[in-house]
Amino acid sequence: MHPTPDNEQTTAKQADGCGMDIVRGCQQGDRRAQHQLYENCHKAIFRLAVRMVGPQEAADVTQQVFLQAFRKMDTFSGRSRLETWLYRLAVNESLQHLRRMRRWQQPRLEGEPADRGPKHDEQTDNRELLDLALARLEPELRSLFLLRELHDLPYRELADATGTAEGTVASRLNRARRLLQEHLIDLGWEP
Amino acid sequence: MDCSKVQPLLSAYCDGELAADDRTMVAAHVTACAQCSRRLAAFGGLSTMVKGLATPPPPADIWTQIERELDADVQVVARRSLGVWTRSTRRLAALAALVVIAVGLGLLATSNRLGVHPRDHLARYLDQFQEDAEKAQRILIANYGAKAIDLEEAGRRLGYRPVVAGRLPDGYTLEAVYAVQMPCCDFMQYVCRRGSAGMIAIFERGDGHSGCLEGRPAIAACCGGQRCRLAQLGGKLVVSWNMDKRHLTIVGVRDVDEVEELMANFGKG
Repeated sequence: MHPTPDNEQTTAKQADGCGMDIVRGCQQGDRRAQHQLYENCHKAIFRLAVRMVGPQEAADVTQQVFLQAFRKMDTFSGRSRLETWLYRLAVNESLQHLRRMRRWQQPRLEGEPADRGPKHDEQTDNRELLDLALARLEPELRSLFLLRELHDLPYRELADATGTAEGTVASRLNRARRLLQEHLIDLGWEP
Repeated sequence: MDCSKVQPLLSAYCDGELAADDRTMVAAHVTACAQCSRRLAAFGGLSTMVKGLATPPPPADIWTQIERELDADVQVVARRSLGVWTRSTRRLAALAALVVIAVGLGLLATSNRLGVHPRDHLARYLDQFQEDAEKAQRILIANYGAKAIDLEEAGRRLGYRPVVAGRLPDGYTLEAVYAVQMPCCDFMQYVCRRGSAGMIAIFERGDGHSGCLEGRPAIAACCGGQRCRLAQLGGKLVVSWNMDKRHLTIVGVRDVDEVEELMANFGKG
């Protein structure tokens, strides 16, 4: 729908090509297969984690996602793509991480809809506002929205990755977009 | 099709997920309706903004950390499946056996000297914990004023971030937090569930003193390079150690491996 920056196209390509030979190798504990899977998918998982738990915690979450994947590879049934299964682990790990941290983090990236002064770098301002607005979305909606926008998952895979009924994906995405827009406007964004 | 029917479909239309008939109807409506057209354009604008967000590169050492954990997994499996014990595990097992004997022979003799009578409420709590953690908790509530609080409150009372905040190992969930006023001192207590396999209770105080939780006979041990005290409690262990200014006691630990795992986990910065 929209062109992606070059670096993100690279990430998308890396997310492909996790064939059954890699799965079998990982299930047998083959370190080369595990490393190959990591090389293919870690940037996409890290990217999701950054937007879910913030850049400071994203490395921990990424590490846990792959450890869980390697330890539970026997449970991968092959009904979904391996990448979708990894996204599911990433979403769950991010949500658990946020629950653990919830009472101890100051509201992350919160800001005031203050007078922002002259817009000398509107693009940077908008990105900061977007980060703030994303942080305000409830985590389950945020994960759904990010998997759609950043990782281009179709609705069927979004349902698998987030544990959402496929029939409700559209309405939840609708709500996420609407809320995100409201948060942006509250924070001073001018469409 | 009016706006009230079209607007819920705009996301799916934007994402190319509508069936052909609905897609045609929405397209026709959006062409004619300024409001819905603006909403659709806003969704598109959001998408562009999000796709433009920069992400820092992942740290280079993530894979190194993963390999380290995978290597540790391999060693644990090898140790358990082949029955090969490391020297430290053999030493701890021998010490634990001594504890069993010491407790059996010495409980009555030493308990008065250490100020813990078998019938006191704490002893009853520890005994009851193995069978029924909830029933055991009622002993603390009734006799030590154990009051359910949340982690924030625990942090305020301690004056620092509780040890379990953001640091429980995988598979453990925090079920409840209590402030407990024992005769000697106040503790924060964290009741945690271990997957679907039982409970542990973690007691924390911030002045580095053990207070009355170490009234049972215990042995000094070294777990994962950290000094601790271990006591046998029915089929489970009680472990206590100092970590910076915290004193921690965990009740209901399964075995020495879990002791090491928990101590290593909480010891991470």
